[in-house]
Amino acid sequence: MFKKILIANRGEIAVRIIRACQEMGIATVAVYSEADASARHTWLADESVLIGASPPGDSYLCADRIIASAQQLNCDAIHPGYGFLAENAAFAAAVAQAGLTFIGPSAEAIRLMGAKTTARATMQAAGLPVVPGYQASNLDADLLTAAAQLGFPLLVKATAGGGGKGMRLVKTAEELPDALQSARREALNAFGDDTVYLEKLIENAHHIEFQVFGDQFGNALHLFERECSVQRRHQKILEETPSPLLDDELRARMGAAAVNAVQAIGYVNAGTLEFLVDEQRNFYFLEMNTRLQVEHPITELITGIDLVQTQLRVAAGEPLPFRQADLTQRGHAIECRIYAEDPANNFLPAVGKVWHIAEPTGPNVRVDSGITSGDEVTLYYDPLIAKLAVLAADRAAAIRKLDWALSQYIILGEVITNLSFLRDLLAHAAFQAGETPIDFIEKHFTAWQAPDVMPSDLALVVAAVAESLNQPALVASAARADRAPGDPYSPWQNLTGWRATG
Amino acid sequence: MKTEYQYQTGDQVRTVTVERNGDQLQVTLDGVAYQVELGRSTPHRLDLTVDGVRLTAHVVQAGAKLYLALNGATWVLQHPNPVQRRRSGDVEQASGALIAAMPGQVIRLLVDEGDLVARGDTLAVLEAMKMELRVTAPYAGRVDKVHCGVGDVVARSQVLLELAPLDKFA
Repeated sequence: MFKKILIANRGEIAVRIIRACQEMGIATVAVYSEADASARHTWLADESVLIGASPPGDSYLCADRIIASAQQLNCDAIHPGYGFLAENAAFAAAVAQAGLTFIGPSAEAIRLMGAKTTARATMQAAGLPVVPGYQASNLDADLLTAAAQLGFPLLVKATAGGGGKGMRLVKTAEELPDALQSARREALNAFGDDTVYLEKLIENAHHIEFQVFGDQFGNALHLFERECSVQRRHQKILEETPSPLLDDELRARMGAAAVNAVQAIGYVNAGTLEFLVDEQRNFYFLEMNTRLQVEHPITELITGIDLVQTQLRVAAGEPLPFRQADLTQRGHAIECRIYAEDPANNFLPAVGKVWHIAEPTGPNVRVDSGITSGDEVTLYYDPLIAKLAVLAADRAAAIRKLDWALSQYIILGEVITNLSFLRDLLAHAAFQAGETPIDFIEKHFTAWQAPDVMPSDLALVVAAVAESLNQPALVASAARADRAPGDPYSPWQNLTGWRATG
Repeated sequence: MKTEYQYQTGDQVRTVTVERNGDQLQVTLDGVAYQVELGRSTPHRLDLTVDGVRLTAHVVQAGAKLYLALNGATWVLQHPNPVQRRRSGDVEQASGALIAAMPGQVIRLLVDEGDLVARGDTLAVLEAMKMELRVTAPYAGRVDKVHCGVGDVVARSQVLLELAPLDKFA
């Protein structure tokens, strides 16, 4: 087993990986940017290294500096987490070349699954159903002809794409030329590659993915599905397992397809097969994520398997410590993502100081968080600040438990979060019925407003009591120092709005 | 000793009176009296009993704001502000100012002062948290003022550009 691992990431996932290493008695090295100089992960690791300025391009994406740090500090492996360098084949290759172990699949597997058209062709050859589409030529004329045969609506997608970039929904043939042009422009800007392909739009689809694992001895298995259809801007908000849509028969067929895919490409370590499932319950391969997934905790909750520790064992050359027959789905798990964003403002990012955090605790309540009271959420990184996951006997109980846990999750500060939105989402009749196709948020929550803008009388009473105590314990410690110059508001203490009336 | 606190809630100012009597407090809001007994307080946490009901509040006083979490809800309270803050929508309509819908960095600026633009044209691009947001012209017009430059970090609701409407472009 490894002696010391560098974690090439930040936030909640860096914290998660450090914990797994600590449990296994492995030393850890954290890396951080200037903006993260006092971030939680830097205090948890045994050693922490500053690797550059705040923009990711100057720090968390600097492969050379990260590898050099790992070598200087005598690490024997690097865990990339998710995002940043996790699906960068050149980085995986460079890590291996430097004599270190990359905790993840081979550079070849990352490259093969990274280009969406190659991934589609590979999976089709392995016998997996793929979304009907066209990728034989990149010429506009060929794409226009192919589109007429495929039918509308369809999606134009960037071959190098991800996160919805370079993707366009096209409803009629007339819209296609403009869509091709703008998708190519966006893809060129984002990925330096303007190749696009076509996919038929699967309407009212569910996004269901399978967690898979392979080891160096040819063992391959799956750890069941995650239902990830609740999304905004092509990013997931809430995930659950089991999926309310699958029955045992469909689950078995999709699981077998996922395992078949792992075997077909000789995949080693943790990965995720993403599928679309249509209204007729046909499933189609969408893409493969060659890394640990953000929503891995719900799989851990229902299987009892620690996926990060398993990643370390497999990367160290051990065989998978369990077989398919050992795995069962126990209960129902749901995770929601706590984002620094304003759901009432089109889910746009929010930044600012976090003065006070209180996290829920209790049986089968799990918080994966990267921030602490006093931290600042900056505009440099992902808006995901924490994940809250629960496990209960069935779906209804899991919804109730998650709602309770959300009610206990307190984040006070300048930053706006989606906490109250998540509670409204859980309370929605369509969600409770498990009817959550991919456009669920768009359909039901476009004009969402925070429910509690006007304080209740009780809130005003408590606020006045808190103020009257005049206790330093309730005043943000750095509030005065951190106030921006030119702040149009007077400091709290000098306000003219209240007065003593002896 | 009696102290009065005022809070701005929407267009209304609500006044709360707190009268201290050792650890007991009498609080009045809109003529209704509440009996408050204090429990323990730890950093940003306050236990208290209001009319016999035990509550735990989480409180942060930061600058001009008071952040409060109580019974699963969170509020940001503010004292009445002598300087009335204009709402973003008002600014846009009154002066042709285009504001940042989110905090972010200006990564592209596609117009100069004096440029004529059509409705829907992209004028600037903001980036925050890996997300790009285009600032587009809500109507045809002439760019009167540019208040930002490439690389600038702007706050939400900050004015980026001023756009004078040109009806002939509509």
